[in-house]
Amino acid sequence: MMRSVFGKCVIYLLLAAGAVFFLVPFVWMLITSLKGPEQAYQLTLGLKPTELRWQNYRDAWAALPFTRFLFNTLFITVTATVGQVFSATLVAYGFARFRFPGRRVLFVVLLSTMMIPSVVTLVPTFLLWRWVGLIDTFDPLVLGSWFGGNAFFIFLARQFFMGIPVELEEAARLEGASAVRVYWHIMLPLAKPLMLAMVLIAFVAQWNDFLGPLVFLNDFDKYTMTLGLRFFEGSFMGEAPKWHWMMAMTTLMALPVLLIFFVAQRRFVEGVSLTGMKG
Amino acid sequence: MHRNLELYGAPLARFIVVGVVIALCCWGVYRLLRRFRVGDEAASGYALITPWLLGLLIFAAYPILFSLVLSFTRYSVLQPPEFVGLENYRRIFTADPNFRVAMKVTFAFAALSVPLGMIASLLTAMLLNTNVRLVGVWRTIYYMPSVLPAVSTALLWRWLLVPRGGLVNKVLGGLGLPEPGWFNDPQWVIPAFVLMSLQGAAGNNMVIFLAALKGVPAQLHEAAHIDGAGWWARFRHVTIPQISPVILYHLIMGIIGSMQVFTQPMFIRTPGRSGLFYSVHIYRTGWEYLQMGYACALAWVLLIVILILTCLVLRGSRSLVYYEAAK
Amino acid sequence: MLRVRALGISIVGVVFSIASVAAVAVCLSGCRRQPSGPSVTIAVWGGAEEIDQFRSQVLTSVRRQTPNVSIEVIYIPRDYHVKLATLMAAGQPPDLFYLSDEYVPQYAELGALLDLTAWIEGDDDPAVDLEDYYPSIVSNYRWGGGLYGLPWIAQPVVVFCNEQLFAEAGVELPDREWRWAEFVEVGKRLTADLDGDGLPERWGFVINGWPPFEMFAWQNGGDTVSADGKHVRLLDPKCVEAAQFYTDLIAKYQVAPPLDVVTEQGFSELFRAGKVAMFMGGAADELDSVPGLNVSVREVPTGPDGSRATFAWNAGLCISRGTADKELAYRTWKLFLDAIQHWKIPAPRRSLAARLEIIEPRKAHAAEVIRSSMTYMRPFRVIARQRQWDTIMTEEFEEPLLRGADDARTLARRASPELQMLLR
Repeated sequence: MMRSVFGKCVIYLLLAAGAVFFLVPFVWMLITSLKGPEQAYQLTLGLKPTELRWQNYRDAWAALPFTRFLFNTLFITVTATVGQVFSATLVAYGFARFRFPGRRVLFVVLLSTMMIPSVVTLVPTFLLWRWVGLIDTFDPLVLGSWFGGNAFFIFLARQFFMGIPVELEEAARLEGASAVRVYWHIMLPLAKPLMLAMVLIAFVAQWNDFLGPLVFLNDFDKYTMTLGLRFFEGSFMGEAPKWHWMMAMTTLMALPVLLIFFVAQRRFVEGVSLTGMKG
Repeated sequence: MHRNLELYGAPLARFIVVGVVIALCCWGVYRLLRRFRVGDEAASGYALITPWLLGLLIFAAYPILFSLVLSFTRYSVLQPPEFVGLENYRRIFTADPNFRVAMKVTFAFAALSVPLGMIASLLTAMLLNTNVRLVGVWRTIYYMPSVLPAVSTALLWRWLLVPRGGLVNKVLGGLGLPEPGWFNDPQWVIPAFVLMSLQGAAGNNMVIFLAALKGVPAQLHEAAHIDGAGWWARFRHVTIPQISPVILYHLIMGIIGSMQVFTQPMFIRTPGRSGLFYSVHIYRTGWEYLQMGYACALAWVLLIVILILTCLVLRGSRSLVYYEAAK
Repeated sequence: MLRVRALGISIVGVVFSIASVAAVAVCLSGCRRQPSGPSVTIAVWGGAEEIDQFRSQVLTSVRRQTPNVSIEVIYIPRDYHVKLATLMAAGQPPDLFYLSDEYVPQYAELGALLDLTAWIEGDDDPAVDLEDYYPSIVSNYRWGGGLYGLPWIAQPVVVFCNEQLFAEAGVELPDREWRWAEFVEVGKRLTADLDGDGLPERWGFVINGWPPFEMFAWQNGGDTVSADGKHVRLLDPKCVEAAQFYTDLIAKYQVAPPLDVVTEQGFSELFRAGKVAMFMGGAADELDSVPGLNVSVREVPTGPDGSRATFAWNAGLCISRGTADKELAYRTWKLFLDAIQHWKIPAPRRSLAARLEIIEPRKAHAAEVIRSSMTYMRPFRVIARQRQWDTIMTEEFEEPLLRGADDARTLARRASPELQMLLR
């Protein structure tokens, strides 16, 4: 885009300004996580912790069985993400490229499933899972997102697919490839940036999910990291919150995601290559 | 080891079963439709959307329709529901001042945060689409808001926007600008929430726009450049149309999301009812007062409102959104 | 066209079928999860340390006394009542659960709690000796003629005093005879603007809606609700006077910081940081063991005419009405109740209050004050629609009052009719 030096300066300036804005919460979390217990009670941006207590991280991890929580969270997140992304893109391909009666209506129905706050669907959903006897398992959290939880992704993928030129597909179809083949060999590779975005978003959503695990899990051994984290908030009129531990765990939970993002975003550069497109 | 098998092995087996069953259903739907002489295209289409249809029937339709039924009852969650006809709806439209307040607050918030958020996301994505050094680091920094739990950002913003002595007002005061009362001033409550929501402009929304921008074929840009189009012209005639499907997506998701905003308002106390968001009102009536039937009625009114808005947007977008492969 | 034949369906089909059958078997084995033998589920809330303590102190003790019973604990961090209500809605309530007193009438009215009157009567187990309990607290667990649980804690509000700040201001620590006027006087002498910028750095006291203004109303001889629970008494002069006094602590007497400062620097954090000399907290608060602070505990001031009253937050243990084995649930309930009362202080039983120093040595220095406060502690009078009451009280009365939007009488006049409707 802008090649001039002035343009570049402006861009760097804007980037820096925005970066400060977005770094503030993270820095605040980091600082609070390094404070000692006396200072940790002050939820302020006191930029001078008297000491840098890195052992807070070790203490917080040891205070609750976070290793087990980590495995649980990883299990749920990975299985949910994989299922969500594949099923969403498959369905979106159907909506985007195939004409069938009732397509428009079904699409509006798809959108409307997102318009109802989960607050009121919680009880019926819970009853549903209880009927199949899968309360206090990981299934509602994972399978739930395979089906109902991904209207969001279906919509997104459909928009993407509809923006991809038809020529490539038509070539393949003329040669008699099946819909699934086309999906796998052509649509998915073309939509790599989308796929990466979806994997990332799905991963983060599951990783940070709180209400799902709270409601569907009873067994302490099955709890996820977000639940574990909440225990550091103490209790009403009981234990005082341990902000330093809570921030330590929040930071720990954020780091892997940021790492994944940092690694993945390089692939965005590849973009869409349309060599082989006819005319 | 046995424990690990129990915890993970069994669910994993179940997941595989479910996956297989879904695949078999897709195939089954296709075969069945073909047997009924349905055309290949339509049959494939239905087969492909079968996973969603299944999900819809089982996991979406039941709870949603159940909540519709509940909206005609008095349901305290702890006891079975009791049919009361249109009583809840009557109460919403005649006897609940909180309903009107909540609608107004949520609407005002959505009207401001959706366009502002979208513009901010797009600008951020464009900024991060340029060839600057260490672009990876910049992008990661800009992605941070999505990674932090909503609770921490809510707490942080509550602290940042303290009227006297809060960081934001200190900066404003330093620049000679007026220092609004933010969360303590009924007039400024909604702008405060909008400001807070702008932090979400980075993060996921930006990522999606970035992916969309990356999907604009470079050939188009080059062709336009060769034809002598300047930056703005290229933006208007190449970029925007190419990413218009995603813009539409953001608009609709923005409407749906902002009308249902919940976590931040829950954590921040505001004077009187100036910060009473609709979802909070639903949560309160449903889970605190245990009047779940009424809460369901409220939720359905919200659904209808959002649905109408969405349909309007979809209809309006038909002429504006460019689908490369419009059929 | 889906040419599944291209995938070699015959082989795939066979493999899938076998896998499905095997997996279905595993699935079913996962679905049947009823433990064999008698079992009791209990739901509790708590922070990270409390869970640990619950496990080591309470759970081991109860398990030792119930060798053949499998006890499952559901630890719920936040949104306790959302989770509890969901479990109840699905017909899978825990057998025993914590319940804080403001929820008891609501749950009792909705038939979720087991009436324990018949069980307790005639049971001479000391854990359920009603004579030993403080009647003011137990009254909140009674509803419609039944008794639906017993409290395991009742924390009277006491005053935590930062000795160093008192010494620096040359003020003596208060005795138990101090009244409102002395309280304000002490607060004024402890409030100091050290750097002369017009804003004090040190405050005598701090409020933000806590402690509840109702406590001051009681000290003044008034109440927000009439004794029979049928009429709102918010507009009574004694109550209005007390509410006005409460907000005057910030606005008129200026012994407490404005709400802005509290939002910025935290509420109890101000005390912990040594910026506030007196803090009214629950008896069990850990404010007297903040490192670096010397803290003494004193009783709350009396009203202008010397009447004593203090607020006591309390929580209890209830049994679910739908529990399968009521006898087992009751037995386990008693064991848990007793064990928790020996863990959490102050337990609302006179016999245990007498041994406060032994149960919790860290509070030995405050034991006398706490015991004395317990003799005149009172909880809120709770109603079935307590949540709506709390919301209206906070939004329509307390908040505008503290913000200085209006005076107590005007706000009381506006809020009373809405509150009265809830007492129907």
